[in-house]
Amino acid sequence: MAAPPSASHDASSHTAVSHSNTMTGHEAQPSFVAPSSFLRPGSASRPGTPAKPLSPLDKEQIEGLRAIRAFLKVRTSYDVLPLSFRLIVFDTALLVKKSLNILIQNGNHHFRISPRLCSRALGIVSAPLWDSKTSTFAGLLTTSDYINVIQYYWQNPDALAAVDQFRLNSLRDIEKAIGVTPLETVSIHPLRPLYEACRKMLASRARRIPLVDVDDETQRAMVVSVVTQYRILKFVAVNVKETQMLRKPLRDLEVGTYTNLQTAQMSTPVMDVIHMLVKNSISSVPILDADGVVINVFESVDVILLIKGGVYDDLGLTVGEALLKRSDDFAGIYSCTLNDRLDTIFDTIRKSRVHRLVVIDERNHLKGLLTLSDILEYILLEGESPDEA
Amino acid sequence: MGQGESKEQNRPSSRSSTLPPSSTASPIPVPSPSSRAVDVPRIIGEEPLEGADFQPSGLPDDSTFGIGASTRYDRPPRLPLPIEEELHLPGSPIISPIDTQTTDGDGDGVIPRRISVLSSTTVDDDDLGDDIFTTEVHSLNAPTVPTLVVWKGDTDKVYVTGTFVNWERKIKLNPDKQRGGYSATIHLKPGTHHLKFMIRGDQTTSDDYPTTVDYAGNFVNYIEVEAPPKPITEADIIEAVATSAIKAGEVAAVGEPAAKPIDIRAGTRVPETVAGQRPSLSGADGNQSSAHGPPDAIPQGRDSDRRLKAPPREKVPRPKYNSEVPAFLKDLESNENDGRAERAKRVEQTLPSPPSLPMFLGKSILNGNMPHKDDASVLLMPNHTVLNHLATSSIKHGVLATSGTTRYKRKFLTTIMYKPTTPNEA
Repeated sequence: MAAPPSASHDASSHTAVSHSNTMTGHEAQPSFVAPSSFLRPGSASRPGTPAKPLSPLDKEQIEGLRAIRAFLKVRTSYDVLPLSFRLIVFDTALLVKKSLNILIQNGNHHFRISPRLCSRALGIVSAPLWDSKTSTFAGLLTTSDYINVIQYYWQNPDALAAVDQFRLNSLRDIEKAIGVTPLETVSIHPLRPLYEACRKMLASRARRIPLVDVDDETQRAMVVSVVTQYRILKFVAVNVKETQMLRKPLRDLEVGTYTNLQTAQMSTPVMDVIHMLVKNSISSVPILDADGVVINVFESVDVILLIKGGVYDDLGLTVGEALLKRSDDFAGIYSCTLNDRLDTIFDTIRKSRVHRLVVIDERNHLKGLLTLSDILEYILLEGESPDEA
Repeated sequence: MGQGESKEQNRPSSRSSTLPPSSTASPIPVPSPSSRAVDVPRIIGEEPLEGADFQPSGLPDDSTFGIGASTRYDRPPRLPLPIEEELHLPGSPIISPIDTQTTDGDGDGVIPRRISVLSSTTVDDDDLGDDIFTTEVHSLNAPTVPTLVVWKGDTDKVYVTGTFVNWERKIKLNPDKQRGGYSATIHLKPGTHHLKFMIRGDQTTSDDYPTTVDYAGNFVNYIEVEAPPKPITEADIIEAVATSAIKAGEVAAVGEPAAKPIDIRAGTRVPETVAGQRPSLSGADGNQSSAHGPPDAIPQGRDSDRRLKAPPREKVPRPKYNSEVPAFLKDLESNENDGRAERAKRVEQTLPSPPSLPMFLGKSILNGNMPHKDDASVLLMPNHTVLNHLATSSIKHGVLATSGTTRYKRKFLTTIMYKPTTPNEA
């Protein structure tokens, strides 16, 4: 990496990762550079104040971010793919409930001959859809689709028979029926830089992006793979040593959500929790006990457990009961404190499948929530002016 | 050779990516056998590669990539261990500065980089002509090829490490007066090697070498080392004849005894393949060429050669095909009690059985071990022979899964498509 950056450039552009007051979204919002005063009370006048001298820690952080961005701009999504990898595709004529089972089974190494490796946490939670009538790709199936099905059923309890027969090609109709704006289907060519893929994902609130290329024999669009934020961050964690330069503690960074957090208790009905997920466009809800201690987190992938097998009876459960349906080797909830730094967080990402970290204090009370989208947004945009591509 | 032998030595004999098209030994673009209709009676020298698809008994491991594959990798991924243990150091390709203080080339403790595995089950056809198996066998004991590794750039010390030393050692590159930068000549066995350069304690990739990603997601450079040309031996010829003949015999028309085609095919094939090899070996590496050398181009007189080259190009008459169903097949289904069904069954038993599925197609990589417990989308490297075949699963709950493995650029993509068997039910 080249010479250290000039102090003036960076101090004045410490604009925050956005979390505007009205939204409780943990994910990125399009207005990336709204100044935030969540972590720095009294720094509201900061955008205009002259530069503070940068500590070595700041400089190192900036250097680290630069190195990571440079890496992301050079490497492509193709580089992230394993040498031999699998892609699951669903025909849109498939029943929704069967697609669920398949996703769950593929997490259990469905194709294995010996089923001894019993139930694991879900390995695969999304799949591209293929419309065989038109021979085209028809979007991506994700957990939000399952949540939408649940919402639909909840609003139309008499339609159980219809819901049971929903096919994947009716997902768009379901979205319309419950009044949800569909997630924009972004895609990217595998040979475009990772930086571009990340920007696209952040702009559209998607947490994964299909890599689409044109098959040279048939000249048709083909999905090569679906790349998730986790996979990209893990790739960075493994291959960019400059992640170890990010040593500023979380309390000094503006990354993550610390206000207006949606929470629930174990006795909260699971449907309420699901409504929270939908209404606030978030992917997880921390579960607190009566004293405010964090005891669990309900994640959007957990809804799949609720409607496994096409049975919708479990929707009346409390979230505590619903969480019991998790498999035995669920990895658990990852947490951190405000003293933790991104270098150790990247370490954790490298070693385990982390999708979010609950930020707690010494008494295990909830302070905030740090998701992969937050981290990605920080990496990409912190310190950059809004119109930088 | 056995699995033990492959464990001891680095097995870079095949590679995780295809040869770049601009290799020095010009590969002849032979159409893959699977894309050409096999013309049984008129096998010409263009198709010596058919022998490549068939695994001779000498190398049983090639087919058992499901189970035995782990022994074929340089450093088998340590499956039973949780992923935390695989990476002892922060960011496994990174060596902490303490470890790199050792100035000698040994034991700098980068043991965790075992993950850099190469598939030894994918053998690239381009540079391993007819003697594909003998070359593989030889490559284990092959004389190493002195390979120049160059680092361009200005820095104090440059080391290189890689799969050829199991990531355990680093080799110093010396300043190169003629070319500038640093270089060293390393003796490498033929095949693909992953490597990374170490500058001032940090591992980096070089822009001068192509890059790839290994099983752990580590970003590495790789180089392909070509096997030096080797003289053809009689064993090779017989091997080539046998394998091509057996393949020819497999697709021979039903009813021909298997023994017959060998002689005839051998008669037609050997002059071509031998002649084809001679000119190629005289010049380039052991690439097969599609030249139909005239039989008298065989320089060495050997009895088998002379005998076989006598009939110049005997054409075996093509079997005649038509679309009438033989009567006995219809009789098989007949329910009448006039004994036709029984007679038909007896006739059926005299027929030769159809060829069975080649064994490497019986083990789908989807059924194999997962190299990565945590990442369900990572699969074993497929043998190139299973590419572009359609596999299916049994129908469960009205859902059929079909899958196929293809190349995508230099990686392998296995797509599994789930389809309902009755799309219009209810």
